[in-house]
Amino acid sequence: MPEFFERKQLFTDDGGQLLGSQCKQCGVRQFPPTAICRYCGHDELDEIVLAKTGKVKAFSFDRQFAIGDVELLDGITVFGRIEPLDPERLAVGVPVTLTPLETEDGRIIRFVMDD
Amino acid sequence: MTNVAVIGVGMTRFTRQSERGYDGMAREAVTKALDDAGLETGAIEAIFCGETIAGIGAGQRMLKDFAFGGVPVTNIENACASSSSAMIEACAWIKAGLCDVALALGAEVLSPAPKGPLEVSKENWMFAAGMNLPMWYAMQAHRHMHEYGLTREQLAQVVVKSRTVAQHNEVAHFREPTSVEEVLGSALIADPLTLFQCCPKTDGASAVILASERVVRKGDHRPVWIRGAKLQSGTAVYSDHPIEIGTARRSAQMALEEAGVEPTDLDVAEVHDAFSIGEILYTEALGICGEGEAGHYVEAGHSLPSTDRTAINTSGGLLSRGHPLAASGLAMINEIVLQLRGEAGARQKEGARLGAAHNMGASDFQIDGNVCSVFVLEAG
Ligand SMILES: [Zn+2]
Repeated sequence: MPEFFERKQLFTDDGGQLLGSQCKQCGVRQFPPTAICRYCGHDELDEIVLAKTGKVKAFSFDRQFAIGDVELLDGITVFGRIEPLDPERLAVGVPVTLTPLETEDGRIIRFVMDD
Repeated sequence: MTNVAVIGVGMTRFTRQSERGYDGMAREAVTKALDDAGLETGAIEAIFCGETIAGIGAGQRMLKDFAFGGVPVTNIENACASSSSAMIEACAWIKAGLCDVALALGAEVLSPAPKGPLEVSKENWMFAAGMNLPMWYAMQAHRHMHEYGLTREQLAQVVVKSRTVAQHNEVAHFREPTSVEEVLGSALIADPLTLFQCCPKTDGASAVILASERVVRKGDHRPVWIRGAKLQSGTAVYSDHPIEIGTARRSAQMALEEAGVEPTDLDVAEVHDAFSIGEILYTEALGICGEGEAGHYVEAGHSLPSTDRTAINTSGGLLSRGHPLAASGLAMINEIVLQLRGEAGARQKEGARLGAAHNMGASDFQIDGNVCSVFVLEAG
């Protein structure tokens, strides 16, 4: 089966950072990583490692946990859990750092608010 | 290509009524639509049935007790826009000359579903990190608050307005008036959204009968003309514009352009208010007010049928009429048709001539607005 039918892994092998793709034709950097450019359809893309830090762009929370979109320093936006659950601190623009969360069901994208 | 008109509408009340089953509710909606059109079953040449969780062959099962004589029944699953998608197909068949009279319907038994948010896109990384429909809309709400100063009170006003008009809609699920305080004091679901700002899980069915201009002209019908009918899919652009509503904006522009009208020409619009913020976002996406202005629009009372601006969700919308997934799209059409015929009673927008129905469906949060349909209708 051609490679592009497989899902690509989200994390680097050591689990510490997120992977993305950069199209060799149109140059768009995208997440999740992909074998076919979502913008121009080209099938040659470079694997890129995304920045670990960024700022909250949008968020929400309930009584159990918080989530949000984080714009990483390299401009790519990624969705993830945000910790700690602190509605007083959580706001658009708050700096966060990627800290993947290991669970029984696998590794989850989690950001922790910087002190 | 022929013009296409809605010549009959019908729907059940939207409420908890799972004991009636899909077929029981579909029988009521379809019978009412046939009566409304003054047609017998034999006049229907093709049937398109919107369904989401009804299971394989849903339309044939729902309609087995009707004497439709073996005409084609095609089932269409397109998330919460399934019955709108069925109507898009019915229009296409008539325009293509494949038939002159078609029935579109949708039905849903949703109230037995587990409490809490509807489960969609379980498998992907976003779901694993905690994404669900309320959270997705709530993030858009926070973004809107940040960029445009939308307030929690304005979000609550959407619900207050919704219940105000739903009092006068006998098919609505929730018909009791409420207040900003009560809305904001209801349970937290996904900040800033509280329970009252989320649509209920409702059971119901809706139906619409469509006909070519030839049929309309030779019979004694009360047509409402379809001037624009567009359906668009989203694109997977999460890392670029994660909280964009480009699909809604694009569908609306295409449908309005097809109709040759400006958004501010609309007298009434039903927009996809599965959550309070939905009405804010999609009122703007349709161009009824400017970017960031929809909070003020509802606060100023412009969305009520009593002012000279475009009235929004005069039925009570998904928030109060309820949201039986595959039945919601054609419930919107039911409301717009009643408005354009001047039959909406105490919630009537005076002199309404032009209306729009905007319906969305989501299944994968990586895709910007999975499916969106917009119809523009004009009084006959
Ligand atoms: Zn490309």
